[in-house]
Amino acid sequence: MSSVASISGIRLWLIALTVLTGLGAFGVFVNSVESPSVATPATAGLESVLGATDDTGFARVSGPRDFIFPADHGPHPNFRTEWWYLTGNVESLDGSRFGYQMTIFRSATAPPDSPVAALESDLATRQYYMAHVALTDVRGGRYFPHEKFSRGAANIAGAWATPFRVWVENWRLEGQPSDACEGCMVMRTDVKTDDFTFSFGLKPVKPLTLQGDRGYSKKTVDGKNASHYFSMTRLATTGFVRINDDRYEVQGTSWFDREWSTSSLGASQVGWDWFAFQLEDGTDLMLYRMRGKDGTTDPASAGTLVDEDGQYQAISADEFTLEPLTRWKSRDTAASYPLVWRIRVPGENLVLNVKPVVDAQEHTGLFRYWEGAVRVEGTRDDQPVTGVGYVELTGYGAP
Amino acid sequence: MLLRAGLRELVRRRTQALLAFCGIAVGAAVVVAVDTASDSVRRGFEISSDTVNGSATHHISGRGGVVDVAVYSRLRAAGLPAVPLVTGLVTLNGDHTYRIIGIDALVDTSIRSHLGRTVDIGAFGDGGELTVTMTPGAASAAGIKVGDSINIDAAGRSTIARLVATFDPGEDVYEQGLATSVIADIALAQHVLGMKGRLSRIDLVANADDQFLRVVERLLPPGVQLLNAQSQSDAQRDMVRSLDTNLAALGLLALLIGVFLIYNTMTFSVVRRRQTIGILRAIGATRWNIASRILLEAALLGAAASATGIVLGLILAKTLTALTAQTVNDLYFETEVTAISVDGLNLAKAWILGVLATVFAAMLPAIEATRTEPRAALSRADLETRAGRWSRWALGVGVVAMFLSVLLLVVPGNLLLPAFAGLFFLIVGLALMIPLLVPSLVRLALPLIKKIGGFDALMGARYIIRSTSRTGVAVAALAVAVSATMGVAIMISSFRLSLIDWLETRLRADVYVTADSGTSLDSSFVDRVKSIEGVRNVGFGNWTSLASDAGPITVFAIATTEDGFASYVRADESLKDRFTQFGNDNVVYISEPFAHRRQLQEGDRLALPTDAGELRFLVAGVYKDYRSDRGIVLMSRATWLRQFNDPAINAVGVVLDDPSQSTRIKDEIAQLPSDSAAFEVIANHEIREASIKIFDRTFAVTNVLRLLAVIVAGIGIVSALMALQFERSRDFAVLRAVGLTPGQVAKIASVETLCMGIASGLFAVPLGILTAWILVHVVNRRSFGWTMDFHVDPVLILQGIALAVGAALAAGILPTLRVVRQTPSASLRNE
Repeated sequence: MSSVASISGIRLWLIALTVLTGLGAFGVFVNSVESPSVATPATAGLESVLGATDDTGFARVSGPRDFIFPADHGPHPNFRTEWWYLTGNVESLDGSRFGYQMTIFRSATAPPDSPVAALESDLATRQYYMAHVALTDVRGGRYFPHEKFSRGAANIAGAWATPFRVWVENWRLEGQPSDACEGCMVMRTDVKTDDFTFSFGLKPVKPLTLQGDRGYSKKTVDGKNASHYFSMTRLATTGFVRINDDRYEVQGTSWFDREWSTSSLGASQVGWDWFAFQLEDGTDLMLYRMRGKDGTTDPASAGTLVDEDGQYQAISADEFTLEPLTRWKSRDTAASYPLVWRIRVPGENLVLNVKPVVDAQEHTGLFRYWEGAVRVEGTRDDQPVTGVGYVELTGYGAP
Repeated sequence: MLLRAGLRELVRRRTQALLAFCGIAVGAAVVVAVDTASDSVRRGFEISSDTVNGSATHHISGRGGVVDVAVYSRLRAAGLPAVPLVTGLVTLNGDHTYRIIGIDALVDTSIRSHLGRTVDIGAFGDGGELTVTMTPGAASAAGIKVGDSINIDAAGRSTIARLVATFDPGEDVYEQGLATSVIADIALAQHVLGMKGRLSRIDLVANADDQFLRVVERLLPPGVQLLNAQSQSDAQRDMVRSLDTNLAALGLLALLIGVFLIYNTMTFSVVRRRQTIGILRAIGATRWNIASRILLEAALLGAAASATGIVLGLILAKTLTALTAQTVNDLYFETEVTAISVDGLNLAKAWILGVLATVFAAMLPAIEATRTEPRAALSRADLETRAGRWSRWALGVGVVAMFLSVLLLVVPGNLLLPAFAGLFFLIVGLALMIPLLVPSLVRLALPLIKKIGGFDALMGARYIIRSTSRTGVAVAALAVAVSATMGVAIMISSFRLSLIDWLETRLRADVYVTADSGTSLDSSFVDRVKSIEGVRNVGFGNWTSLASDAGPITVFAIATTEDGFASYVRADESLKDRFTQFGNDNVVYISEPFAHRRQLQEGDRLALPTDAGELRFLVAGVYKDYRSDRGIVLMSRATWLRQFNDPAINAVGVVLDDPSQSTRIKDEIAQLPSDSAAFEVIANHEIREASIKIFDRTFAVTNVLRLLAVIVAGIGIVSALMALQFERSRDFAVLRAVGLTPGQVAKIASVETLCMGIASGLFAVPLGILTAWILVHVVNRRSFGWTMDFHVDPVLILQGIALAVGAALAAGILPTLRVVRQTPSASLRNE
């Protein structure tokens, strides 16, 4: 059960950790001083940084706890890393379809009692934020990734619980408590880039899914590495998308993940494949596969199935298969990603064929990975079923 | 053969050649040193500003050279790619003045990528430690190793941070630009510099027509401006241009003196050898043989001496660069000049200049030698006859030169080049007339000489009159050399006295309180000062700077009494009306340098960025102020508060009932509560002393150059007179042979040199005063816009004369001793 949580945890944790050690390439810079032949890479693989860091002084996740809302929607600054992760598929009345990603990561560079906190400066902070946004224009076959980095100071970036607000510059996610369920929120996100603008209202249609053991998500079997983790797997989404002068009123569904932790992981995998689908029969499915260096699937791979009412169950590594069918080669990074998949969950009598809405959905900022909107069609109990979703693929680049 | 003969001649006349050699070498050295120093400072400025500016095209800055963090937040919240910077000077480990560059590596990825690459949030604060980084050179210059803890002092506080790593900025230029810099996270820099809530500026990269610049402008609060980075840096560069020109002029003056000396030396070399030349012509050498021999000799001497001069110059350049950089730091802005930038082209230029000057100076003597008929070369009378013609010709040229000089000097405008050219022509013109005047001057003095020295002395004096071709030119050369040093000295002393005078008038209060940069006092503090027993009166104001495209404008807003205001108004004006206008209308008074830089005069309008947008203030007057050569805009506090919503006070002047109580009252003020402001209490005399110290430091460069000119002049005088005396040894031998005692001969020799020394000293006086007058009233005004009182210190005049006479006497000693020691027959045989 817990491993369901960990996949999302791992992928995001890695991104956040990469912010810490990879950005501006301090590590690379030290290397370059010692051996000048090491050049600063323009981009880094999302999976490339897995170094152990010193967690002394940070809060640790040691077991299940009761979530307290709305406080737990806000930041947990004494833990090292945290993220707010929103992806979705939307469609206009005239049939224009879009996928979007709006994700904000928080990373603390130092424990709470560090001298940085005592500096007389309004820019002093232990908290740093990274935001990744992207819009996929299905009809136009276009994909626009963008990223922002900022210190969590001077109101340039930050996170508040009340009122709920997480932002990096003018990319924002805001919300207020909803009576629909325990801990539920109605939210709104606004993003403006040089390529596009979007603004969505987000309303939960299912209760929160507390991942792992009541939201306690173990990353390793011994429980030394774990996170607090919950999700809103289905959010009714309405709003607009604008590309240049074209404005589209849209609606659709979104998926929202919340996770925070301090623990580090040892690296033995080369990357992972992550899938999250919202099927038309009301079922939400999440699956992931950790890929070992030898190409094998790690036993830590797992999934979760959430039914129409929000009841969920875990799927273990031996309860599903992922079969890559067609590969696509990125022109930007020369990485080759498997983009068409056949997924089988025999216990649910479920077979799904996964296709990206646009092939080129590779996020090519400081970190490169493929994260994109997909369509699924298949059968459940031999009845046709379709759906939408998001897939994340990492570790396919040249080493 | 002729060349070898020439070289032999140079070797034989060792002392002569050595002195000429020294003269040329020092001249070339000065040119090289001045060139290198101003190049290094300019380059240092460019590199350090490039290093900090990076690729920024626009700056956002506000009053006082700072901008509120909230402005930055606002721009970022609008999603605009603004990049913050916090920079200032700090002291490392109590010993090394470094510039701290505080950046936000997360957003500073393109503007200062040479820094941004090196640092990240992981370096600055991973584990929460306070860390900094430097180039390896910067670290070792401060004696810091990776891992060391550093005490960083600034703004009255001390912070300890660790050097976490060193980094290689990639390019030599940046390596140099960062040679005394320490890089830190922007938050640490804010803390260290006491700049919480403030940034030094915000940088942008944009094309001039970018839409987003207009968006930026709309988001800026009053008083905060969007400025073009290039024009800011141009404005700073312009400020040092005057300094550069002045230095270059001093270098050329040194060369001019050098040329006179070379001419002198070569002339004597030719004159001394006229017998040899006569013999050579008699045995068939052509005119061209003779001329080329002399010119080649000069070229060789010039080449060797200039090469030596270049080496000397480079050594000298180090001192000169440090002094110039100090001046730039004192007067203009913080520069980072740690490396001397040696420009091969400059060196080549100096070498060629040295050789050409030597050859040019030898040209007249060479031509003169070729005109000599074989037989006539042996006769001195012929030489003197032609010298007479020469001197009439020289008089004509001199008159033309002086006419040109006057024309150049009265050309209106602020160009420095005509001023220096005018000065040059004036000196040349007067110098050309001196040989003509020498006989008359000595003739005038003959009765006196006879009375004091008797018949022997008269013989010496008569010799000077008879041999004008040699003595006249020597006296002129010496007079020019002496007058140049005298002129510069008088200029500096006039300036210094004017400054002291001005400090006396301007510093009316007994005790001054100044708030540390960035902090502010308030009116309750002023009230507390007023209530101290023994305080008669308190005036206060606020120094700040307004950003403008032509560089920052220093504004001083004062709350003062009619009395205190009096020194800004001319005596012929109604103080009462002026004071009322000062308080009630939107008027400003501007200092002379400001008027000069902006080409403004009374009655003009000056646009300043107020809270309500740009407002055109009436320039009600121009006043004398030596505080800043960028200039100052003075306005009343009432006007300031009306137009700029800023109640800050950072300067308070306290007048006491009894000035002798200043120490006690200083202590009392120092203990006053001041909320958050850090302030310093300074007595009147401390300001005065500090001002004069900075003044003296500023003119240290000039003094070094003056010293060099004195050395060149000294060498020249000794060289010229020695040549003359050696030339005379045959005459002296004859005098000995006809029965004069060694003492009598020595007396004749001494009178000769003494008379020439005195003559050149006397000619130097009017020449020196004229030079000083032009420096004070033309060059200085055009460089900085300052007016100053012209003050001729008699001590400096006497020093000049003493230099001439002393050098003349020194030059006479060696030949005289030789005359005295040698037997007449030996001397005669030698010839």
